[in-house]
Amino acid sequence: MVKGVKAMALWSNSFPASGTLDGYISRMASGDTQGLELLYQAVSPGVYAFALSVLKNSHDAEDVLQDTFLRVYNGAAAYRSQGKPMAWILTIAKNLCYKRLQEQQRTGTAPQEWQNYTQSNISADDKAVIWACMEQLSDDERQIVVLHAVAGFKHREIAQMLDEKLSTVLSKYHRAIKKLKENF
Amino acid sequence: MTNKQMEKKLRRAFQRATPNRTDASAVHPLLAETKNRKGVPMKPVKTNLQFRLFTGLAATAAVVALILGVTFLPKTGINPAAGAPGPAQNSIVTQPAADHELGVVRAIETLNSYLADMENAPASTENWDWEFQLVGDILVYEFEIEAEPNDFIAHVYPDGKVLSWYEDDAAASSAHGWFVGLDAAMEASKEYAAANELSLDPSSSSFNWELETEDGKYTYELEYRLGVYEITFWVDAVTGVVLHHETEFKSGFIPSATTDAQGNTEGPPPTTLPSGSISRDEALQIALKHANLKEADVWFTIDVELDDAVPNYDIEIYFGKDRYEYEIRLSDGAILGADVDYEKDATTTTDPPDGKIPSNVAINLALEHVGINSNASQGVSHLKCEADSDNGVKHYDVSFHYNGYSYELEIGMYNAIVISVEKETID
Repeated sequence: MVKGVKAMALWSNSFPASGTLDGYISRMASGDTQGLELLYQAVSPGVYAFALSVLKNSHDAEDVLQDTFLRVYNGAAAYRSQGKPMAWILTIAKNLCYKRLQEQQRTGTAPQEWQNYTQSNISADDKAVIWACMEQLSDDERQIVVLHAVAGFKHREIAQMLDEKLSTVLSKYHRAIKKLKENF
Repeated sequence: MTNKQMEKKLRRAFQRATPNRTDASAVHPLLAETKNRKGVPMKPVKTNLQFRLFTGLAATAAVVALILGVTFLPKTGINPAAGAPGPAQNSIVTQPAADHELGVVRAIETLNSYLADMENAPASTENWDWEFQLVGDILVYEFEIEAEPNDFIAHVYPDGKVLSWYEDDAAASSAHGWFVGLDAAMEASKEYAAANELSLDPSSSSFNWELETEDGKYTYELEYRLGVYEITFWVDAVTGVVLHHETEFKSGFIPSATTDAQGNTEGPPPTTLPSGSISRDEALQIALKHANLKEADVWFTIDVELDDAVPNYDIEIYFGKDRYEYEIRLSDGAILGADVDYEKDATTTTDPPDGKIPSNVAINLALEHVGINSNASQGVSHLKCEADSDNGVKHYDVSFHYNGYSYELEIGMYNAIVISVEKETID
């Protein structure tokens, strides 16, 4: 007798392999514009979500997204693969986010609260998911969730990036996902 | 809702919210224009037109199809994933069409003709949505077609060939005959187990299964829990062939190994701890003591692994960014192996205790990154290397002059990644 049968329909999007991303970057470095396009399609959601999670403003996040790809494009020729292209890209994005935050803090224009979407091209459902992520999670929780669920980093990689213990990252992640699930 | 479903919801929401710039010709000129020019802000690129255009096209296509009585009817027995009519595997196009609107239109045309040949239609199809997805290393259009009772998901190559098509529910897809089904997958796993002399007695085990994708291949993952060990089979959902299997212990007590008539210890793992074995906690304490760590400060995993049919504790301890791995003999707690992983980069030549790369390595990386042989760095002047931290990210700032230029590079202190490079002419 088969016990505990659990029927599940799982659809997990695959995150691009590091080798694939390296390939796109080297195509960009050799002047192939499709390399840029492919890289953008593959990783822009992760970059955008991360920027949004830090900056709490969609316009700023779009600017950082563009600036990040501009830097990636300009740096492609000098890029040397360390096997972690996404970490390289996210580091650029992170630095840009923090520079922007510092500038906003200096000028007193840093948003304290999440500034909700005014874009009309995303559905109400998607807005609700993003709202929950932005409103209900702490800054740390949000970054961890975004880096794992959207950008595809492993918890261990996130721990290294954020200079946190793995146990801390794991507990924050599970707490955050639990909070989000309560909304849906 | 499971965690994975919540993750998927998040991923989809952010993917849809991300500004859609799929046309390199729209992005590239701006990049080219600003290349090598400092301080020139990049203007927003408005290419959401593509998405809006597609939405219109998709809606029109769906409406026209409905008006013309072209119902979206999956025909029982047709298995798109198996290639009938399915994708032409020898004509895989890995690049998107240069003209994405054309690519999407081609995909819609294919899907419409595909759907028109099918039976057992969903009661209604409401919305179509699409986005780019990587399936394995192949870029495809992923269509999500809202329907009752289940959504449909299709992957279409940019040349219009259908890669896969299934109902977003494992049971429904199996009922359509698109996948071999759970029973056939289980049967295949039993045959595989028998052929490979694996003990598999589902009557005395718990069992779980999932349908998942692995490198773009739909796969049944079948987990048989047999006492304290678990055998997992991955079965191709389309062909029913077992792709591979894995045996894993799931708790700290272990079964005894079976021994054949010739005295060879083979086959399934043991079912009880050998008498006199140390406990999991004792093993953990041995490892912690050796690593000079406290249990409260770490996160750890303990598994039991077989090494030549002899069970040992395999303990991983995570402390900050460091990972300690111990292999401890179950019978007497002897440390058989210990390894500390500081996640250092391959270019690191030493093992500093805190995992940092030394500053001289950072300097060499910086010089080599800009094309200077670090072993023959004549002409380099004003060389400085300072440790810095930027919002908690520790790095080295390496600066120097070379060949009429001033260079500044940030090198990750722990991962040796080149974070940024600045090059300016020396006035």
